[in-house]
Amino acid sequence: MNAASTIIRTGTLAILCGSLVWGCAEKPAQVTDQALQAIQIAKEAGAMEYAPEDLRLAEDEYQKAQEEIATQDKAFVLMRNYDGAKTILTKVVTDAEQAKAKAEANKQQAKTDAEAAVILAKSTLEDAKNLFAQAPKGKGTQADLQALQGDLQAAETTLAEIEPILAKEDFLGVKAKAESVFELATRVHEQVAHAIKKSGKAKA
Amino acid sequence: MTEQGSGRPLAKRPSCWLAAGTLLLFLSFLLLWWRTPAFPPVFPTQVEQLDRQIRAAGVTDLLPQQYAVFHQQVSDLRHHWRLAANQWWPSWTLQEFTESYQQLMTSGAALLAATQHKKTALHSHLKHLLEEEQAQLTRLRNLNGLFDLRGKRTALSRAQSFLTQGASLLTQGQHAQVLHLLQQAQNTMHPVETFLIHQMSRYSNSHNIAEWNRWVTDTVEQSRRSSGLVIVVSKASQEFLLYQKGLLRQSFSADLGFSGLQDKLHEGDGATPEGIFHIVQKKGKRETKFYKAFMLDFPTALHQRRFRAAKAQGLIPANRGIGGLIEIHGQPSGRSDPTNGCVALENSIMDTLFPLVPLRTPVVIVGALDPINAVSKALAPIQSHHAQRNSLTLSSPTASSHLSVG
Repeated sequence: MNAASTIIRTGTLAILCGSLVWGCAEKPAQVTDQALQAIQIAKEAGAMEYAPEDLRLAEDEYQKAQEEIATQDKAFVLMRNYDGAKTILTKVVTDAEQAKAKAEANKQQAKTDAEAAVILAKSTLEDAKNLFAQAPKGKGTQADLQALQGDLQAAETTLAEIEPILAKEDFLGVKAKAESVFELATRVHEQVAHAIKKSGKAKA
Repeated sequence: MTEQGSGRPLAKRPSCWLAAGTLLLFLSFLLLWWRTPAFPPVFPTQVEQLDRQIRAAGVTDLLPQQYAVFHQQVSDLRHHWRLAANQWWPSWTLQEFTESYQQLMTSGAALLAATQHKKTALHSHLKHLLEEEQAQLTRLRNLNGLFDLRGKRTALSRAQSFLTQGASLLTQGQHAQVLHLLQQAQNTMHPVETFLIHQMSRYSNSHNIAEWNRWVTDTVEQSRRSSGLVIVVSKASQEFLLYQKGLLRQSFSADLGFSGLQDKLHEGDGATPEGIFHIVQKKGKRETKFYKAFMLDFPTALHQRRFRAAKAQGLIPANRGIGGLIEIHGQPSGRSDPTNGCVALENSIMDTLFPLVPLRTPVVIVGALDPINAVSKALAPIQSHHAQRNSLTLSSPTASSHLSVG
């Protein structure tokens, strides 16, 4: 065997091995991690409550990417191609980031709405309590006053329940409670104002 | 034509035929493969969009089993497509794939419609339940001033708060929370409802009605025999009836105590007592702050016995007395204020009655004389709603499962 022949054989073997190594596609591990992390971040930002559809899109795409990877895993080693899965996973990252951004915006809006409702409820309740102190008292108004007192107590109890659920960031629940406080306080305010007006007329 | 050297015609050589046949077969396969329509390189997204739409409509809560089947079918179809798209000679044809895809789109559209229908039905059902409970709460609140609701009014206000929260969350589609709030409202209202149904049932109890009628009949008969006057007060109709010589002469509207329709048990309960009494004192303008008044002989011996029995049973707080100073008294015209247990008439009526009504005149105060009266009519919807709600709770393992059925 001469030197030229050895070089040709070695070169051919090297090309074959190189082709084999080059042909063995790698699983898209890095982009899979990025996609999973992006979904997790979106969830932590409240996407499950505040951007569920966007999050669902990202999760569905992730599922599809996993199915694609599983299919390629079963294919002949030289025929494996993970490019499709990589493309889908890149889209998952984009979709998850979009879900996170939308969740943050929606959550902020819900928080702003809830806080505004709480402020309105508190001020209306304060007004109602102040006016209640001036309510005309007499034998005939006893039952009505006690009913209104019940409304004020219920409003106070409901208001006290807001703080814990605000800490849990259940802004829809906070808003609902604040609205019920507002309604009870408004009822007290209206009825006391009416009674004061009526008693003023009676005196006149 | 012959090949040089072999001496046989080329067409007659078997190897030549074999090569030609192989070539022809290869070309046929190539043509067939070429003409076979290729699978789409990307799985069509319409069915996945539909899947997401169905989930967004809340299928996982409303129709979970049907959705599980559909979702599995989507996954299976995608799996088949992936295998087919990666094979040179797929076991599926494109036509079969297209037909399966179309079938899935059709069943998905049907599932979406069913989910939306169920969601709408659940929303309407919860809205109806909220309205029903709100109506019940309004009926209970309207009894304030007729029965002793002290200590129970906060419960009614809390129930109102729960219902308001429920209505607010219903608009946000938070059905599970609405259900929870409805149950809280019902639980809060329940003791008040039970108390009021017990009190109001006295007015539809045939035994009570018969006894009250007997009191009136006997007393009026006595007045007929003695040619005297009898006063009858019906609490249910809030009427003051004046009988003379056994005949009804006049009737007036009257106000009662702040818990006037309740059966009087002790001092300060605001109830107007029921029984046969007599006028024991007539108070002129300077003797009462209520213009003019007829003082009654409450408590009678019968009331005292009942009071002692109730106290022994622990139905009355230890520091409470039986009460007294029950009068028929005046009040300014146009005012309709509840009393502390007395019967109030307009001052002008007291002016008319005062000279006519002598001391020892019998005064019969009854709940009602007719089983169909204002209280029994008000009780009917309260009792019906209460019974309906209880039967719903009893007929299903949990209220939530009943409600989720929609």
